[in-house]
Amino acid sequence: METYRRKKRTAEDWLVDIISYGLCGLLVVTILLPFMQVITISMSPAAVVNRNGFHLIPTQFDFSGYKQIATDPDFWRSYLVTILRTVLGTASGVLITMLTAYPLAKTNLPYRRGIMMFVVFTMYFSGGMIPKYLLIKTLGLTNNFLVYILPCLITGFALIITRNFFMGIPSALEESAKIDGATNLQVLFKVYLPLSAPVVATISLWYCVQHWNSWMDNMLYVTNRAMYVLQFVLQTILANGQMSDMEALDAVVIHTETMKMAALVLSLIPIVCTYPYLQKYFVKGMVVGSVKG
Amino acid sequence: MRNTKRWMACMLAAAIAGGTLAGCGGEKADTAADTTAQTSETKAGGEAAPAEKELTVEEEIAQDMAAEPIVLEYRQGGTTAEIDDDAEVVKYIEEKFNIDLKSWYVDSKNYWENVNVRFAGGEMPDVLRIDNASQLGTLVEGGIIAEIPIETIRKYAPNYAKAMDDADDGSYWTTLLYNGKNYGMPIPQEVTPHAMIWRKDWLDKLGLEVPTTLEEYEKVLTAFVEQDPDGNGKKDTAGMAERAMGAIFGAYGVRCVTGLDTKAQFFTEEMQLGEDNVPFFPYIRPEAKEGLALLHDWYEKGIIDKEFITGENHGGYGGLSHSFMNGQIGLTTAQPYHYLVASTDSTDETNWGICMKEFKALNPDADIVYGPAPIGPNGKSGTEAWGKLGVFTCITTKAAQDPRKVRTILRVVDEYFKDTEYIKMVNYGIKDVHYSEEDGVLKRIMDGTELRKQGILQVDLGNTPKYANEINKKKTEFGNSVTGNGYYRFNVPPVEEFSNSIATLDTMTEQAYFDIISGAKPVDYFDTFVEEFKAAGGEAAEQAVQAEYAARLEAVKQQ
Amino acid sequence: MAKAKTAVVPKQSRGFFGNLSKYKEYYIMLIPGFLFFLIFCYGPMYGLIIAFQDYYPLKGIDGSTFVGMKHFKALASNPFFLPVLKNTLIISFYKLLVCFPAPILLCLALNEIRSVKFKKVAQSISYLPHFVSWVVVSGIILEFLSPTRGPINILLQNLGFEPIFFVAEQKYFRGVLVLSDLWKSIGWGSIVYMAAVTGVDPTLYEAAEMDGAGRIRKILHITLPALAPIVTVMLIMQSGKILNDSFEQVYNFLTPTTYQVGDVISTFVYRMGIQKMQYSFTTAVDLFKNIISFILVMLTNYIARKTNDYALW
Repeated sequence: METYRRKKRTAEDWLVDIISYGLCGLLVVTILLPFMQVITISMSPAAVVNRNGFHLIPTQFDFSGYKQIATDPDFWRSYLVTILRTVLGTASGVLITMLTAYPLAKTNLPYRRGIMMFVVFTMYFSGGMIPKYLLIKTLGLTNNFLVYILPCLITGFALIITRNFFMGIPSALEESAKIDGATNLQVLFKVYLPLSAPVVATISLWYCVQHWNSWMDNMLYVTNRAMYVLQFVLQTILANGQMSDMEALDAVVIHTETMKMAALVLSLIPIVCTYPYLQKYFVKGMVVGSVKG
Repeated sequence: MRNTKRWMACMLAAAIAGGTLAGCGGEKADTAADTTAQTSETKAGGEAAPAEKELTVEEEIAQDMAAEPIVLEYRQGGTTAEIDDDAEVVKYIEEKFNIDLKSWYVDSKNYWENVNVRFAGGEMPDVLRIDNASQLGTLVEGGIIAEIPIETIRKYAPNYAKAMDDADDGSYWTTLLYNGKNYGMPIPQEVTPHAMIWRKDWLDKLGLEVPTTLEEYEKVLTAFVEQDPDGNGKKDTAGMAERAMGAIFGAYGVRCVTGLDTKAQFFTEEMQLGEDNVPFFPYIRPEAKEGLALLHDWYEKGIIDKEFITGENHGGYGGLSHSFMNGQIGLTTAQPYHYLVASTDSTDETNWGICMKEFKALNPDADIVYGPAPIGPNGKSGTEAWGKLGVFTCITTKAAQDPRKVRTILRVVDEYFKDTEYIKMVNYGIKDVHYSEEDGVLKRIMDGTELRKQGILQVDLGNTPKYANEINKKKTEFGNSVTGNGYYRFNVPPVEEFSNSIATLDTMTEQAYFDIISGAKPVDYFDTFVEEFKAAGGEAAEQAVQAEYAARLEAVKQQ
Repeated sequence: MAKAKTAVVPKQSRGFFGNLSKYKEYYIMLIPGFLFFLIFCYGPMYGLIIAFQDYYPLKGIDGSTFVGMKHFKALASNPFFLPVLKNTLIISFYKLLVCFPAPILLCLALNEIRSVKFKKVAQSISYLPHFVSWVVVSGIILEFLSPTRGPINILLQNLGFEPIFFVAEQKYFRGVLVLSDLWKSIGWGSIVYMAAVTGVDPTLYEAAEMDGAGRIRKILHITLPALAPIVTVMLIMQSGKILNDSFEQVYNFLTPTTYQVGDVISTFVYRMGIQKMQYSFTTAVDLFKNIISFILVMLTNYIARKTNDYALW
């Protein structure tokens, strides 16, 4: 990078800079504006929310949306359950993904293409909700914490991405490690893992987000309140406001939009906080070159 | 286990011996539904019957109350929260019927899909509420909903039966018939038609009166467009959007717009019952064409807000009309209580309904006024109203296996027609904890999810006449005083021709109506649409529904 | 590559068990993953049978009657099916054309940004829309495009044009779908490319610089080739998604005036099966979609394998 500074900037440099900064700047602005709307609505009284037009900066404050959600006793417990599930689910997911991707990255492994087909097939065909439910029930996973982890352990997509990354690692590294007497597992964790920061960060983020956001499994397989996940609790809170009053009962007091946005903000915070931490590894991937020796 | 089953069988046998289940035991075997368990129980009961001494209803109930509480799983609507076992109202209900009340929470989105997953896993509640009668066929064939003979209902829920008889127009008891058998309890509802709601400050500013005929409507609405009712110097106001369209069609005698939902809807699913007691599709009637022609004309003149296509509601509570709140339009439609609860006094804040609160928060100086629905060229008028029968409460095959459960469920239903205090408790809860009361008007003071956890709105049966007239008397009277004729929802009997083609018909109708109103297609395209509608199964469906409905009425008459 | 190696170790000759024992260690590593796919993905797949049945949940798969191709015929004979299929294909094709290259472009742009802070911030912000549901996004976009209040239409009016009701006009509807999808997916989609780019050996850039290469040449000759394998993989995967329209998105924008151009398979199925227990019908539609998708993936993979070295398998 320092080399850039020493050299004189050419017209080409300027052009590339203008385009790339312009593009990213534009994107940032178009994304930030609607988000300001989301955040503003989450902390505004209903009157502001219902007004037509944009609300980019809060003019009046009303945190009742947040209060309503945060005072729900289920909310904080479910937050914990979700964190637990996300951490355990992501860790085991990444581990199994790497374990599976490693042999599949070996081009000379017999039946490798068959196994890949076996994986890819599952990305397009699934049995549907009912057979899956029956399976989960037979396996005794209903109302079991493992139901949050096992059925969504790995995804075909993450597996393929990881395998492809592994395939890009020079085979000479593996061979030299093996000459030193390393087993495959040792090669995977001592040689591949340090080189795989970018891809591990990527799939971790995917798994993380997937676990963080999922609630269907909760609704279908878990009835024990103590095991509810965050998104499910938010769903139950929100569903209430969406009811159109077919029963001709007078509506109860609700500020759905404020609550919806508050819920969104609250559930986003951990993701936003974790992200820069994971992103660090994307950059660290730069160090890859140093392993030549 | 075996013993209890035997006992249950005996109990059911007693019911049969009472002469009320006549003809049900034997015939049940040939029901297409595989309610195997239930059938075998009934048969066993049939054999054991002569040996058992007959019990009176009172004795049976006394026995039920003395026994251990039974678990009762109650599946209400799509949005209930799970019940908190320690809540006071829950305990009240549980003690009253000697039950252990349970409920499932299922997300309202993809509700039936999710419920069905559990059905497939062999799980079902004891009481299941369905949205409309056309679902019955599938649920009965699928072995989920069990037969509940009308005689049994009459025996254990006499107050309910009386309320049905009192309100009956000759079709009430036929609502949940399927292949000649009864599969549930439709609950009579006190329904108020939608009201027409005007911007009073706009009318006042322009010196206009609330209009009553279609011509007067046009005059006033045109003034809303032309004369700058909001006084901002810009021509940025329209007369109305999609919600008031129902009343325009109503002026021509057809019920064409339904639902207060996020998007405008022309739901073919809801047929209309003619004055001659013959159901028909209002959407293909020549009267509908007249309505469409007028609406298109109004669209061209700017009376109808162009954004009616995306709907008056921009999210949040479905009853809200953002276009109305924001002064885009000056006329909308809603349930009366959405704006004012118990009187026309709009200065009294305690009288504000949920939409009025939001409206006032945005426009502190603005005001609203109710008006009559427009009268059409032939003197007709009216607005949409929900069904006079609703809250279809069914018993599942699981519950049907246990006669005590069936009895208990019927008692739960009956209580709602018997005891005003009970109705109040399950709808509103405890005074000053869950609701406040002032001048005979009840107001909830707790949020909806929390209320449901507390057991409120979990076993209610909606706005029955008793409820409306004894607990919500003021509100009901007020609602009726500001609305006129209602076009009620017709509960379409489950016939195959209807359910096979209805989705296609719906899409065709929606497309044609939007295209005609917005001018994408000429008004005369209506005739082409009618032909296509009939050809796509509309004609066959209409005939089948008419035949089935006539046959049912005939059958009831002969009884 | 693979061919060269097999020449050295002729694997065909060893037979199945020979292979198993030779690569024992590798296969043992595969076991957990293999079991996962077998149990949780293939386990429930017998459920696809219900596409050929009149399925009732409580009767189960064994108890429901077999009706052959009934539901597929019902699908094909529905007057709306062909237009809906056409819409799905066109919208997906537009999205592929616009939304597929966009994250790559973003990745290249981000990679050229030298201010680390700005890069990090821009990147983090670009992911945010991924987490917002379509209900919320569509609400914001409807407001943005409103013919009376939306900033775009106010601008148009000030320039002397008639306001345009973008979401209700057939001409613009697909554009709205594509652009809103772009907005929502571009940042999140770029993650996988960013990961690939950061894996590039920096010495390559240094060497290129020594040779006097400018930034554009470095992009063309180093960054892009480094992205090539992942781009191929993503393209193969995307090709299988052509029939997988995004229900949440379309449903929230669709109005009857735009059915003709915007009604897609998922919204169509939703309306067909609304609140009815049309299990068999929806499964039949899914199966149809899946078969087409799978064929497409196979085909693209085949082409990719013929034209370059980077295929999925």
